[in-house]
Amino acid sequence: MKKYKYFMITGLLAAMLLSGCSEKEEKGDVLIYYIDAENDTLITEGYNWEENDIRGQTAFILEKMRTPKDTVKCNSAIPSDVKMIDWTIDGQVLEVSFSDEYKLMDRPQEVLLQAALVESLSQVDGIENIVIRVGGELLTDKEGNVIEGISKEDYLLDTEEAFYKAEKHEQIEEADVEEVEEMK
Amino acid sequence: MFIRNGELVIILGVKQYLKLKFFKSLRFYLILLLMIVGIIPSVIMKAMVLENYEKRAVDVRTAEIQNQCTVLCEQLINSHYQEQGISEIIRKELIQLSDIYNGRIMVIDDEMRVIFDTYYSEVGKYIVSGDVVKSYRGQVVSQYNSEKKYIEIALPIEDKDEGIGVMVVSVSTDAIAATMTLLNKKVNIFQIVLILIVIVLAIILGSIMVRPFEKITRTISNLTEGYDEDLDVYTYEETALISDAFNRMIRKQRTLDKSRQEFVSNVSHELKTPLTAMKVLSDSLLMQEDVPVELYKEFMQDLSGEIERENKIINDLLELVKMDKTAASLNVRSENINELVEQTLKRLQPIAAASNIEVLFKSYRPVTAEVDEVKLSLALINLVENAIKYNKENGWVHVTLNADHKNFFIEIADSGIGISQEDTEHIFERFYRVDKSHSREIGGTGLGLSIARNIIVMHRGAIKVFSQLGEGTTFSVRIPVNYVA
Repeated sequence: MKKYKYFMITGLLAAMLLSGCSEKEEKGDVLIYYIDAENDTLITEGYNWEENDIRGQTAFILEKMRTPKDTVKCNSAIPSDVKMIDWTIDGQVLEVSFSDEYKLMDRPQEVLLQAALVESLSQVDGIENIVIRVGGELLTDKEGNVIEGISKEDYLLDTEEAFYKAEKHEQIEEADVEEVEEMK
Repeated sequence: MFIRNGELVIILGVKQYLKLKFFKSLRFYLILLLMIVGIIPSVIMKAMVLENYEKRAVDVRTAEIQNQCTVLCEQLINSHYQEQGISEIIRKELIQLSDIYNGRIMVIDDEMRVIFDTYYSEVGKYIVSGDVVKSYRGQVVSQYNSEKKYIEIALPIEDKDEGIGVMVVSVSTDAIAATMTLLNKKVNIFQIVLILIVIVLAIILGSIMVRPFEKITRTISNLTEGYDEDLDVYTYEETALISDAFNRMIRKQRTLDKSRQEFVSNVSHELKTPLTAMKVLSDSLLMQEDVPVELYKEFMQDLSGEIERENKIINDLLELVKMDKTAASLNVRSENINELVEQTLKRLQPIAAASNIEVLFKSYRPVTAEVDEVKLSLALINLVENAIKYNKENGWVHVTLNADHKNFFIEIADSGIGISQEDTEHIFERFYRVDKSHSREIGGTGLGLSIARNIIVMHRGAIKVFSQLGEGTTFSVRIPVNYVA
């Protein structure tokens, strides 16, 4: 009976230690963004840089975005039928061209893709903006305005964080409300 | 000084002894059990009730907010909010709602862009949180984060003309948490009181419930010291059983004691009787003057007879005592039973002849068995001698021997004076004589049957008696062929 108890205790400790190990998120130099298994939100996997110039790093990220390490938990943010035709870097702007299948995505999918691109690629030193072309043309919003470029600041990934960040924000004043109206 | 110290040491020692023993006592276990039974359920219940309260409160609040937001969503749809912007009235209502619930509301359009935010800071951004995406695709999502204390609800704003939007509400549950803490405090106080009461009750009840055992210990101690009382602790079924079993044992002990006392007094009486006779004879002889030699001879013969009698009694007693002591040591060997019986009967021939008793032996088959020859012969002698002695003039004694593969049977039947039904129950008792006066003439010590029975029982056999007053008696003996230890 005593021996059995010993085994149980050591087994339990081992399990705890091991589970601790596996739950730790892999931290690396760079986080690549993927879509979770339910296609609702973005999750990350950590990688280590293999290049240290802009072009190299960009290529690295774009390649890794298609191929997650844990294929059960993660899917590529770029759907398999959407092909990335080309990409160029001009100063601090990265221009990416997609095939026409891009237009087949539903809005949430498109926004998730944009956010994933923006969050992953802005980790490259020197890239600030991303411009997306589909079939050679820039994207437009629903009012017909051309979207010049997107950056990290345009996207809100998590409402939980938003709620708490804003706790310290001041209460909106009447003036601000009008400003919002003007935006419309 | 020393004595004092010595006393002190002893007292301390006893206290130590008692303290350690307490943890092994039934009293301690009972108290512990009662405390566990009283305390643990209340702890569990408290946890469950509080958890349920939290869940319920959260559910209620979620439902409230969801209802109000649904109304606002309708209003938004009716006011074509995506095209014309969110009207002043609705803005005020949204802000009011978020203030009341100490939360934040965001409205998202069909491009997943934030077009309204009660905190303003996120307006213009694209949202890709899991809840918003789910809601955009048609689901109503509600979540409660108990660690960070907020509820989040995401509602789709479905308008056939304008497309889909989402209303996201994040609401603080500080109020619920505060109520929980308060409740917790109150319940804790109550629980502490309850625990104290339970502990006190447990100690009291535990001590009361073990009192019967203390009574048992006391009664038994008294009995050991000589007080003659019965154990009657009938509080519990278990103690009643103990009391009954103990009383039975005591009673058996007492009867055993009594029979032992009887035996001792019987022995002394039996031993004294021949001596008295001897004294009487010799005294009367001494008292007389000028006694003829023939008288001396006669008296000497009587004396000799008494001495022989005394000798026999003592031998028989020694035999009994030996058998009592060495109950297990039989000298068992395989013997020819037919021969054994024949030899025994031969030895008794003279006595039989003296009363003209016909002794017949009939054997139905040759029998070999594992027996102690000496002891079995002794038993047979006793039985046959009785048959001869308690017989009529010119009577008969028939001895039969038979066997099956398991046992052998010896029957000793006589045409004697017989034994009454009453007496047959007692004849195997030591010193028991049916008719004391008659027996003295016949002679014997009163131990014969007792010895015979002992011997037969030692062989793992049995002896039975059938008798008819005035007609005769038959003793049946059954002994296993193979001796089993």
